[in-house]
Amino acid sequence: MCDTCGCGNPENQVRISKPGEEQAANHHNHDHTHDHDHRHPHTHDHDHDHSRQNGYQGQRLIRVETDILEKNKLLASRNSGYFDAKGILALNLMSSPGSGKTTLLEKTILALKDIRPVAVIEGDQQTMNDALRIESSGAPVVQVNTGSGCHLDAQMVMNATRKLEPADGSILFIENVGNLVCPSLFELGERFRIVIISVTEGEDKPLKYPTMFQHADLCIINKTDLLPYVDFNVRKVREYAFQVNPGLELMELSAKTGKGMEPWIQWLLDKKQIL
Amino acid sequence: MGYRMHEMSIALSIVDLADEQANLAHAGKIIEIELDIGTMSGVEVEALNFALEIAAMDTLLEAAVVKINRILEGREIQVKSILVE
Repeated sequence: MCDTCGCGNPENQVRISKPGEEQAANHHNHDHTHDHDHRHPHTHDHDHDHSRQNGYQGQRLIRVETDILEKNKLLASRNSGYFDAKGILALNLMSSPGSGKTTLLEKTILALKDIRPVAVIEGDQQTMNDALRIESSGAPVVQVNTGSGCHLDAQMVMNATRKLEPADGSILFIENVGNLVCPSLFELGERFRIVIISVTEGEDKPLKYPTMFQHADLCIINKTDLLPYVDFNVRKVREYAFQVNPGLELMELSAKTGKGMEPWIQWLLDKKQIL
Repeated sequence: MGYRMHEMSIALSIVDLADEQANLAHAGKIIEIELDIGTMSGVEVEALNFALEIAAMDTLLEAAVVKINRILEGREIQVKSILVE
């Protein structure tokens, strides 16, 4: 299969791989590729013809009242239990594509070197590009390619974690697929959710994507080195964020220059401490 | 493709769930399915309808009427009930 554009993969399955591995399709049980002809043959208690003879009969209303996202929530809880038991601080990093998530991660990994073990799960539709960058920074990493999927889910994280085998006591960064909508609906088993926006985006992001900001614990405003060149008002962003989620913590930094990185690293270490 | 992949994966989950419930009830066919979809759920109803048509093919849900209740400010994607025979 072509690493660049994913061609040659007719089923468009989810693939999970380590850098350097042949990208084999994983035949794990997953909703997206679920086989619908699995229903077992019915064994009827009664004879249908009999009921027809009696005229109109047999319509029944079945109350289901089950949320589709329940299954994902259950798997996410399971992941969460696993992480707790191993003393792993799992973080879900979400943003639009281009916010600088991967660069921030590269710099964070370097800063945490020799202080805390770190592991990364990378999520993208296609390519190993981000995983290769993370590997160069020195952290163990696994790449999840979702194919046409627009978000990571708990099943993918479970499979990726099995492959990655993060050390006890590590900080596990899960870099979600670039998307401000869908990821907020799928719990992964993370302890904290971090949304990253950059100063090259609109100030009204919190208002436009309220679900994402309501579910986040921390918002990082990245690329502050570009503030002199854009009309981005940080105070406005904070106001809008407050409207949508008064409890949301905000931080400003530049992953590129390193300005503002210390409070972020400290935040990580503090959160790890109280695990 | 007329549907978004997000709605397709939701539709597949709905079909699975409905199918499972219908089988538990030893039903031969689903006549109607009622869904509660929150306006904040991230699901676009038109796209979901389209995806459901496709996902339901060759399942007990194939000919079912789909009734969707839009729940204001809600985030749920719930299969409320199925009418079977």
